Amino acid sequence: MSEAISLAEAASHRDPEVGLASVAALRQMVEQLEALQVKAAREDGWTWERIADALGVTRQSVHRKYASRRFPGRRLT
Amino acid sequence: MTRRAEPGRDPITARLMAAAREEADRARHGYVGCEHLLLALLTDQDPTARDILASLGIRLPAARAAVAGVISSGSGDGPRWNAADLLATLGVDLAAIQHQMRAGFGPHAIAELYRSPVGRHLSWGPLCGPQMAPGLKKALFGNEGHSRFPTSGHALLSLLDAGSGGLGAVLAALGTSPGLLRLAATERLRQAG
Repeated sequence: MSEAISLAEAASHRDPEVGLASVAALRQMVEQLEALQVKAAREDGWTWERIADALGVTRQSVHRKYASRRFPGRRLT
Repeated sequence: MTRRAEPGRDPITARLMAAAREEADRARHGYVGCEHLLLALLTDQDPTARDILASLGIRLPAARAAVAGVISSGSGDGPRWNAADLLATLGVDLAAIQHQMRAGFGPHAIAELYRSPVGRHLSWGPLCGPQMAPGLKKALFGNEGHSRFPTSGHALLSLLDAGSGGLGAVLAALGTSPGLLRLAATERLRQAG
């Protein structure tokens, strides 16, 4: 069993476990925020190309990540 | 008396799930697990589980302290720190971001996102709130995805069946074991008929 330590203590000692877990939480949150914005943009009629431009990524990567094969009507436009 | 199986509608399950989540939130833990379900059983309005636990000398304050000790030492079933506190170490205010998201996209935006085609590959993240540990899902919903507990004592037996390492550590800290607790619970439920 590792030592019981508060998050504030661990953070103040630059504990890598806190640093890594914090960055992981931030990355997961950014993924959620990006998906929320992509969903809203699609609902507003944005094309995948325009969404990709705004995110600064390729159309293929945004399409691979978010476009559904289950909804043939919502293909790459 | 016949009871119709209505998945996810068991009142004891719903109460215990909400109370377990509350316990995890108040302790600022990174997940909701079997350890929190033990605390939920000690606060539930049905006294069956509470009486069984009291027969082994287990009461709420000591149990809360034991759960906090086990989880903060990293021996719980999930991450010891919650996402809001972790993000705060980076200067990121999760509550403020959640507020902005609700204002911009509505109160159910996250649930709707995960149901939408765009969210189908999205994994868990801080905007969802603490995750339920697999052991807790097994304890509350069983393998068929739903459960029905006639009393909180039956929920206690289901909790023991989940085989949680975190719960084992909590019970050890409280001077007992899953085996002893199971004996006490089985005996009490048998007496009650």
